[in-house]
Formats: sequence, C-alpha cells, structure tokens
Amino acid sequence: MSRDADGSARTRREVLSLSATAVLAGLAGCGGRLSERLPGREPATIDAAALSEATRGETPTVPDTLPVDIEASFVDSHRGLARSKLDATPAPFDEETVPNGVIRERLNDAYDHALQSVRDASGAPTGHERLDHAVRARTAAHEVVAAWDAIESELVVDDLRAAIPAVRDDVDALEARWSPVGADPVRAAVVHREIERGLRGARRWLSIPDGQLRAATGQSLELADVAVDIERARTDTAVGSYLFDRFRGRLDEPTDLTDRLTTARDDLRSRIDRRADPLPSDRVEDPTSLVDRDVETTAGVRALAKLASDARRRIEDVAADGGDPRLASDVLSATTTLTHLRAFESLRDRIEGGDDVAVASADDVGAIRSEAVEAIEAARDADRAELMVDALLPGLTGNIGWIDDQFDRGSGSVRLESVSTDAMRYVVVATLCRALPATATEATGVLRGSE
Amino acid sequence: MPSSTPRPTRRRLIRSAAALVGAGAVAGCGGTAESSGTAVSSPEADPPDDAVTDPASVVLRAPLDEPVLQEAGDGSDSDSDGESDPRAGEWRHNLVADAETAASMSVVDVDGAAEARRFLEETDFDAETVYVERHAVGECYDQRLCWVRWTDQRIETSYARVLRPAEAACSADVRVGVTHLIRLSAALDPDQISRFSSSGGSRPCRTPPGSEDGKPGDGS
Repeated sequence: MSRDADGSARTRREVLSLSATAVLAGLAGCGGRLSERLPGREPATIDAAALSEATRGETPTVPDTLPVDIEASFVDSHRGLARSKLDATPAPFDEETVPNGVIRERLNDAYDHALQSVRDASGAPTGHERLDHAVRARTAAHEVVAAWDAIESELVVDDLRAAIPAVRDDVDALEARWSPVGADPVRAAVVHREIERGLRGARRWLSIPDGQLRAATGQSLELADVAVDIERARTDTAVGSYLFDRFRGRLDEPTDLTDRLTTARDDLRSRIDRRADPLPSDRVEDPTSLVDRDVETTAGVRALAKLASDARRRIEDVAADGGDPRLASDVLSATTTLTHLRAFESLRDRIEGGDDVAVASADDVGAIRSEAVEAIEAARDADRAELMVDALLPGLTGNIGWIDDQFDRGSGSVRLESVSTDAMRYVVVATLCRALPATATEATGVLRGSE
Repeated sequence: MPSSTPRPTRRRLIRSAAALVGAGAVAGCGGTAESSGTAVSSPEADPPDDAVTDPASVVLRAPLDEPVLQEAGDGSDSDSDGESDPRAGEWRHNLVADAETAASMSVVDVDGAAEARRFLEETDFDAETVYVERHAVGECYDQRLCWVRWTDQRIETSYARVLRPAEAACSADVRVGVTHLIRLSAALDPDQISRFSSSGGSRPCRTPPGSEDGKPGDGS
C-alpha cells in the first residue's frame, strides 16, 4: 500500500490504475513488451508441438436443452419442408444450370448446408438441438429455392413485398395471445426467454428497409437474402407459437408470472448494482492494477481483465437494451451478469491469495485447459439449480475446441505472451463455469421467492 | 461544382497509376498516411454535392493482363504505367487531355471498342478531359460508376460492384480489368492533378435525394 502526501492511503491496485495509463499510453501501438524490445532480450517461447500435444483431448459436450417436450413430428415437419424446397430445384447446380460461378458457389454452399442440417436434425442429442437444426435446414433450403426462382424470374420484389404483411400478422397474433404463464417461475423464465427471442427475432427479420427491397430488383442473391429473412421470421413465429402452446398445454393452472418475473428481474439488477463496485469503470491499460499484489501479466490476470470488461459491457448493455418482449430474457441475462461478477471476484481472490495462474510451459497450459474442462463438466453435472444451469451453461463454455485449435496451429516456437493470451480463454471459461452453479442457485431462489 | 482549368497546351498523358496509396507511410509509432488510393468504403452515403452522377462514359472489360488502351508508336498501354508495383495491377488511372493524344490511341478489340474510339473522337478537348480508370474486378461482377468529382488538383470516383446475371458464364476465381473512360466537363491540366482516389462497395449506387423516383442508380 502506498501513501500520498496528504496521508490518504491507496492500495497498490489504485495506484497502478492511476499511473499505468499514462506510462503505458506512450508505448501503446509500438508493438511488443518493453522488456522484449530492449537489446539483447529475446522473448520467452514455448515449443509449438508441445503446446499442441498438451491441449489435445476430449472436449466436454454441453447440449442445448429446453424444458419443453418437443415432439419429433414437429421437428420432422421442418425437415420435410426443407427437403421439399430442395426438391423443387435442380440443386446441386452445375455450369449449365447456373453459369455464373459466384451465384453457383453460393447456392451450392446453401444446398450443402441444408443437407447437413437435415442430417444433424436426426442425430442431435436433444429435442431442442434437433429442432434448431431442422429450422436451419428449412431456411438454408429456402435460400436455394428463392434464388433459383429469382433466376427463373418466378420470384420478384413485388412477391416479397406482398409476403411480408401476412407474416407480420402472425407475429402480432402470437404476441397478442402470449404472456409469461407458468407454474414454476424458473422453468417459465427459461421457456419464455426462448419465445421472447423468437418474437424479437421475427420483428427484426421483417424490418427490411425499402431501399434493400429496391436494390434487390433483378438480383437473384439479394432477392434470396430478403426471402430468407422473411422465412426466418416465419420459422421464429412458428417455433415460438409451438413452444408456447406446448408449454402452456402441460400446465394444470396457467398463472401469469409477469409480476413475479418483474420482481425477480429488479431484485437481480439491484444485486448487480451492489456487486459491480469492484469493477473498473473503464478499460484498464494495465491488468495487474486489478489485483492488490505484485504479479506479472499472467494468463490469470488477463482473464481477470477480460471478465471485468465483459461484465462492464453486460451492465452497460442492460442500460441501453431495446426491443420487446424481454422480461424473461432480462432475468436470465441478469443471472449471467451476476455470474461474471462472481467469477471476477473469485479469480481476483485466487490471484491475491498467491496463485499467479501463470503459464511458463506446455504442461502449465495443459493444466489450465484441464481446469476448464473439469469446471464445465462439474457445472453440467451439478445437482442444484439444474434448470438455470442448463439454460446458461452453453453460453458460458466458450468453445474449448476453438481454443485448442489456436494451439494446434502454431509451428516452431510460440512467444510466451501469445501463449498466455490464448490460455487466458481457458481461465475465463473455468472461472465462469465454477461461478455458475452458485449464481444459478441464488437466481433460482430469487425467482421462487425463497431468497 | 467541378472546377475548370485552362486548356493544356501540350500533349499530355500522365501515367500516375502507382502514385498511390501511402500504405508504406504507416510504420512504427508515428507517420502519416497519404490519402490517395483505393478506399474500401462502400458508396452507401449520398454522393457529395459537387459530384457528377451521370457523366458520359464508356466501359471496357478485358483480361487483367491485357491493356485495352494503347498509345500508338511507343506500344505502352494507356491504362497503366507499366510499373512493377503490385498495387498497380489493382488500380490504374490516366488522363487524356488533348486531341492529339486521343487520336494516337488504339483500343484493343473487345466489346465496346468502337464506342470507346468514337467517345475519344467526339470529346471536345477545348472544354473536356477524358479520365481513364481501370480496376481489377471479379469476372462475375460488373463495376458501375456511381459518381465522379474533380478539382484542378484532384480526381475522385466511386463505384458499386454488382453481380452479373446468373446466365453470365464466369468463374468465381478469375478477375478481369474493367476500364472506365469518363468524360469530365473541364479541360484539366494533367500536370496539376496530383491526387487520385477511388472507393467501391457492394451496395448499389446512391443518387442525390430527389434526383429521381427512388430507384437505385447504376451510374453507368
């Protein structure tokens, strides 16, 4: 701790946050750390092959779930639509059917995507994922058929303009009859978040500027783009309507939970306000200023800065949010923000407690990766607040496989700074997943009125 | 509005292609970037007030390595400067400012060649200048001139890249040279023109508000 002339005490964290900006601003953009730019100092490196080996391994699967019994027949109806759309075209296209190579490549890509999604809609582990793939198959197939119809002059801008009002009517009808009903407010929040997403998404897809429509005249791919937007609005509405009916139909006594969800949202937001104090108000130039301890800019310190900036952004996004309906979405979003805040505090405590969370070797990176994998599995298998954990975990796990790929792509030797930056992502995932079960339990208590 | 300059008194053909792109100026912790060059921004904004959105122009397409305009006698191509700068393959520009130069130029035998020859012949170099600009464009795309504007020292263009029809046989991996001959209603002095810039994007050309009934302009 340091002390100013006026005798006021400042923690190291505060002093660094005040001074580091000015010092480091002069170096910003010049590339490389100061120590590495001094003559005779070679940057530390780690063997790329060893990194690749250390980060190889099974990645945990976290399926997307939704507490609604999605019938196989509903999934099949979308798959069937996808197939019938594809069958209405001569896809895959060759140079004779579509001589323009750019258009041909785009349509064949959409065709391949549709076929793959049709297959995935059979093999995915949960009903929600199977439905998601089936819907993707439908929209990708729609792109193919719409573009082909435009090429054949069977689809023009006026057709698209004429299709929009009917879809908009369907969105309005769903929104008019929808309300956040339920019995258990946690289950209801999870399900209605999905319906809200569908309603908001449908409105967004339909907000097609007239200039875009005019510009699409005579342009097959642009016409297909607009047609796909309209089709996405259709599917969002159809899925939202199905989920609502399916969920409400299973309730003995549907109760409107608007007040309960509103109270819970406000409670969770006030908790965010109370706990956001340790966050820096702005982006920190020197991440080590976040901890009250002398420590290098380790992977853990970088992760701390990342958690801080993500949490701050989430809080600011709440203040600037737009688009309705979003009550259930806000409840779950607030829970995710609280998870970030809990993760930030726990990682800061860990580092201040003496654990640098640093990487100096490939084995260190492997160990940090293992932490992330174990944290994901532990959260996935947690036996508390399962509904909330299942709803939020897929959004927090990041993509371990993608991080692994960053290490797999290296060759020769990799600078330690670069290794530390990539390893930081494992630390973020591990810390968030560890924080989730407790935060989900807290939010569940708030929703059920027991906390 | 575009300015005019005194008529040039000598044969002028500037080869300024690689006068560009101050990318090399951006280095280290300081330095500035010269602004001449092709920009990656799209012509989504309305044209500037002093831009001309429908100048008389002719478009020629040819393989990327084939110069479409050649000056008789020296065998040099007039839509390039012949330099080895790789950026010159992307963007080349010249100015034809007098009848003698125009008459000495040959146009290779591609679609629109006859029209281009006529275009040069019919230009009144006492009051007009022909700006020749070539870009490398994907074979499956057209490049449409959205607007051009100029001063005594500077010429600036903006283009829209538009996908050709499905029935146009082309490869997604091949690029061609698209050369625009643009008639500017001013007798410019090439020696005074020091800056050239050009922007392009995939959105259609915008037209000035109220200039037409809301249709996207093609500018060509």
